[in-house]
Amino acid sequence: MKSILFSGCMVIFIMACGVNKKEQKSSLLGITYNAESRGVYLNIEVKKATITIMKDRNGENVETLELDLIDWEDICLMVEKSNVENIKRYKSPSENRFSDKAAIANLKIQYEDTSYESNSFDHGNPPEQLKELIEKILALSETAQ
Amino acid sequence: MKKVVLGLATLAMVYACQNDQMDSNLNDLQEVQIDMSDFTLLVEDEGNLTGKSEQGADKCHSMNNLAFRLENNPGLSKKMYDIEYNTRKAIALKGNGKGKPGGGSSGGGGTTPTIYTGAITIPVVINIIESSPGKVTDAQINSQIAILNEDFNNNNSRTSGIPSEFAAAVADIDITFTRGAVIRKTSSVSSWGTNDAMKFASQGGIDATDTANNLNIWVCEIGGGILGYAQFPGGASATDGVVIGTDFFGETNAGGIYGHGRTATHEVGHWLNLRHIWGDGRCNRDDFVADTPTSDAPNYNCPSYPTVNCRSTDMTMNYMDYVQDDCMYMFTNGQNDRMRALFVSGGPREGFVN
Repeated sequence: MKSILFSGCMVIFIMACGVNKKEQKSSLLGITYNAESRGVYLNIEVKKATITIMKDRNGENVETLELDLIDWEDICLMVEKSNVENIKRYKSPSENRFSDKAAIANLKIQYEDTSYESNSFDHGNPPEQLKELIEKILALSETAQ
Repeated sequence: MKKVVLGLATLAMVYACQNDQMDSNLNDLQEVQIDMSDFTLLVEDEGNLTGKSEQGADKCHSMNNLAFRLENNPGLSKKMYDIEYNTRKAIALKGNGKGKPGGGSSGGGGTTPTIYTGAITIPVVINIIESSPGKVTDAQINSQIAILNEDFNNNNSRTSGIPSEFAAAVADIDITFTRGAVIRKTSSVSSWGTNDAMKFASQGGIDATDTANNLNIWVCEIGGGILGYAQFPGGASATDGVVIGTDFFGETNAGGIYGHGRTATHEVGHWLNLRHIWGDGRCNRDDFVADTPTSDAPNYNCPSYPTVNCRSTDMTMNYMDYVQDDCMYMFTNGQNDRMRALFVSGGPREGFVN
């Protein structure tokens, strides 16, 4: 009896998660991380089921891979935590890009029907509020090869 | 009673500010108004930004803010602030027709900032960290010195193709670079990064040579796609100079579209206090130069003309944009003033003319 009750709870719990996740999926449509300098080009586009990595300004070095659902869900949670409507106010903690010590990075988040864009920051040292999300995206792009 | 005193003090401040503005209207040399409110090395809230160095109302506010700014911006040193302040003042005075060298009398004890107009010669010490001895050839070194001399003397052959709207802005900087000591070290490090390790013998690099009287160039493998980087005036003397990736130093085949020595021209521009031409931000961010158009992002490769951003045509052919070597070929008169303001007595680059 206990185990039936337990299973029942589990089913309800799983269903609840499913509903939540569906809501997240409908809110976040995609993320683009871009890092550029004179000799640097990196563009990573994350969507629900794919991650596309572009390493060439002329579009010759492009790789698209499948994205695990669990990674997408992680990203959805991180975006929720980042307060997407505030990302244009987050401050860059360093300014190495002013003297070419770092590539110029930007983050764009397509959320519901709006595109939110960050201020520029140093590639390798994002604003604190975006750090977890960007590290996750970069890690995914690296394991992809 | 306290309130009365405070009120009087406020009145006095307001009066002082108004007085400053009136003096400025009378073209008083010492009271030219310098707005520093947009000067920062850290990105601020967009809401705090003001436009180009507008003269006037913001002065008192911005001067009162200095202590606050220095305290809260660890990247903004007093030294760099002072360099910027003197640069702006010299340029403002020149605009008033009173900033000619030796022209201004300096009342009140301080000297009047001016812009240096004489010939400038910059000896270049080349610090080469290479995988095998002689990998960076003599020809490569000489080609880089020649390219710097072309670009800083308005001798780049491509300048003749400039669009007419920018033709009047082209400047002859009149700086001669001479080949100084070449210091070589063999190292297996294949990616030095951008944390200045190559500038210290203790970290496997080469120590700088007398940075007050020499431009130090380090040539090494930087890694991460970075072609080169610089340090602005006012930074630590031990790291003063520019770093150029081995393949992008002088004329090279390995450098591809960045193999024609313009990375050094761009970095030396930073070393002489130039900012990126788009102002490292959105349309309302300035490069502190009046005769360069506003833009909100770098241009890459070789843009077609006209490339329009922020409702004006970008000066994509400026050495301080991010285009490929063959497509950059000019500095402006305003950039010339910024660079030359560093060489006056008391300025951070005075060692090169004394």
